[in-house]
Amino acid sequence: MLEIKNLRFSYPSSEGEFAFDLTVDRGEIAVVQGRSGMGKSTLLNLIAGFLTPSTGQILWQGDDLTALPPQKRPLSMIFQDGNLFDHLSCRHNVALGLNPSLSLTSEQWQAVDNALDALGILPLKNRKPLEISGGQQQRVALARALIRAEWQDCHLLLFDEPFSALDTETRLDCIEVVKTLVKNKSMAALMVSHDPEDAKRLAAKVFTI
Amino acid sequence: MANLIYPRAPVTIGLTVAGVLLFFGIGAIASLIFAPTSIQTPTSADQSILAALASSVDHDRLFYSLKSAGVQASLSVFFSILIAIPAAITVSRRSTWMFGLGMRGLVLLISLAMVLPSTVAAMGLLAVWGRNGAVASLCGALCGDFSIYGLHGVVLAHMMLNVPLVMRVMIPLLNAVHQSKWRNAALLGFSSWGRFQHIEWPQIRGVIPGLASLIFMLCFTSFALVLMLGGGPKVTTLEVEIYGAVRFDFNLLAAAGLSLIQFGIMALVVAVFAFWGGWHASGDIRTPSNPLPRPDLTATDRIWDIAVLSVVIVLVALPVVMVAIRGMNVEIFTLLTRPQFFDAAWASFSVAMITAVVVTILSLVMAYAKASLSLSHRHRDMPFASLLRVLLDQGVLLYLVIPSVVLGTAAFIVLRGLGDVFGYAFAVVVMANTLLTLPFAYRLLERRLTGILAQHDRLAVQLGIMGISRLKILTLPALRYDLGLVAGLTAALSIGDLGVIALFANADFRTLPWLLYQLSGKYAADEAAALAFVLMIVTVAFFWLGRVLLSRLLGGRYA
Repeated sequence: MLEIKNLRFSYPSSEGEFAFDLTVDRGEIAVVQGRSGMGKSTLLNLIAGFLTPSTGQILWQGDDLTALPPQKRPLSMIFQDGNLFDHLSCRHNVALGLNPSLSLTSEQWQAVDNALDALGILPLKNRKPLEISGGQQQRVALARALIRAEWQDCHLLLFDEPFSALDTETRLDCIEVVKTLVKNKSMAALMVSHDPEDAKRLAAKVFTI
Repeated sequence: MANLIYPRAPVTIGLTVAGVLLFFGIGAIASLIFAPTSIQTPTSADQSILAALASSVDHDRLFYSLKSAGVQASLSVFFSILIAIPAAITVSRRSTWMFGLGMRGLVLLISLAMVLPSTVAAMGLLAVWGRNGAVASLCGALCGDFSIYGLHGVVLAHMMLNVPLVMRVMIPLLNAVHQSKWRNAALLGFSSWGRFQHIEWPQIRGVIPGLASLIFMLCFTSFALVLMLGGGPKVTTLEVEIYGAVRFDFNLLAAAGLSLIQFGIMALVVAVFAFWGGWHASGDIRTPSNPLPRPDLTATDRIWDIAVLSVVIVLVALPVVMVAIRGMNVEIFTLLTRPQFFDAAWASFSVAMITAVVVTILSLVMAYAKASLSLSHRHRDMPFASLLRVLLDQGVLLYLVIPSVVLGTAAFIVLRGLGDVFGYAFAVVVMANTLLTLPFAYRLLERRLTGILAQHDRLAVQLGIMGISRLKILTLPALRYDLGLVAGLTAALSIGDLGVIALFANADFRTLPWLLYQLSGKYAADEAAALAFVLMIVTVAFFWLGRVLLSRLLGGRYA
């Protein structure tokens, strides 16, 4: 379970302070909604460790993540774009989730292929990100998150407006993939979205800030 | 109707200019090829043209020069890129260091080194690494009998000028990396090497072959730096050999032969350069005003970045600072009262101003013609449009393969038949500077103008903004920074050039770089240092005037 307890943060250039309190269970999807500038992305950046809170705690399965550097946190984050490295094939992009130096055992490579297969993009494994569509790119990023969940126990998923740049059909398709992933792998997902329909489609818990 | 919307007159003018340039370029090469028929010598009279040219060249010396220039240029390319890559990475990710202001100052000094005349760069390097330089006085006896003259001095000087060039191209590319890439790198636990391998290297590797060819070309044809820091005949280039053949041996046949070889080698290098996609002139290095934090950076990265910045400061910024420190001595007053200084300053100012105006106008006209011929909706009915585009490109790009001393030699040979060669010095220097800076100006404007016209065309036509109004309201204001850059860069490069002037300088006509070269050879160290400082200030002033004033002027009320 993800627990955000009295988490507070303020940017040096602004006087206002953001305060967050929420919980998300495993197998559950939560959508954070609110007007621009209310701190939706700030919340995700705090959880990921890109920003340091002034006070408060971020707990995952009871462990305090607040002081950990980003690479030590058991989570994957998916952005609107820029999730993939353009010079690497889809397969290599997913493999990065297991080892940043790409030295994988045959068993791990098999797991990479399985993850691609689970997301329905195995035939695209040797293509580069610029050779596939936006929706397929997001599936590759999800495959990486999946493999990190399976092999590195990274069961927390953060989404920063991941489907904003996609057309409606692809968006619906990706939402189904996320729902299945979270349910089957017992993950916890926190998503920032501008579209109120996303929460309904995901059958998600809604936090308005 | 189409012609009223997109008038053909500017296209015709642009094509005519390109034709004239092509004619001049081919004429220059022809004058070198047929030099044996125009310069009758006792030995050349009975030989064929090629045999006469070949026998005029000292083959041992030629091979030594080619080897020396090749080794020196290769080393310069290797070390410039080796230093510039980490330097660009550091500057791009540490824009807030030294309160932001310090980094902006460093970037300014780096940009300054790019437009620095090579004679001034040599003086700066001597001020740091020379016998009485800053490094020698710091390390004292430890440095022993270190001399900056020789291969290492030339390579170091080339690094000083080329590291900023590479950084200038790479920093905008690195700044363009999406923030989510750095965040992913942090989440996936990339090491510094992993980050370089997967983010930084893929972003910059595409420009490296083009940059390497460009630097090789610049260093292989290097003249002033080799002359001042080569340490005699030990380190040389074909340019220096041509200069020696014209000024010391007065062997114009040998000069013509060497010039043709130089032309052939440059043609080959430019062909390779073009094959690798060339190099696109980039805009300013802009440090982001509100940079996002980089969660992927560690304490080790911090130590590495400090080390890299220190190397860049010693290599590039310190010589620039030392030129200012050494230059502010009492001899500056002696210098400023010398009539030779005023003559040289006036000549340099005139050359720079005329060149800047001519290059800006010519490159604009030609860029307009090229853009018009490239956009499918303009002049689509014009016959041979693709052939005309080639004419425009080749008319200008021909001068990439004709180095300044080669062009000067051709002019020298042609003008011999018209009387006193040195009487044409001013016109030849202006023409050479114009022709040599035109390729860069044209390349820069052509791409930008094509984009602007494509963006504005339909809306402008729909709103009825055409002709002079369109130029005044839309095109020139949108192009003002680029035109300012062209004018400023041309003025700065012209004012500091020591190429053709080395062949044509005489008691009645000399420029500031030539005067500096003479003073540095006469052991008038303080006066030379003062002149280097003045030349640096003047170059920067011209660069700034060109950039800022022209862009403001063109912006007018509409930008």
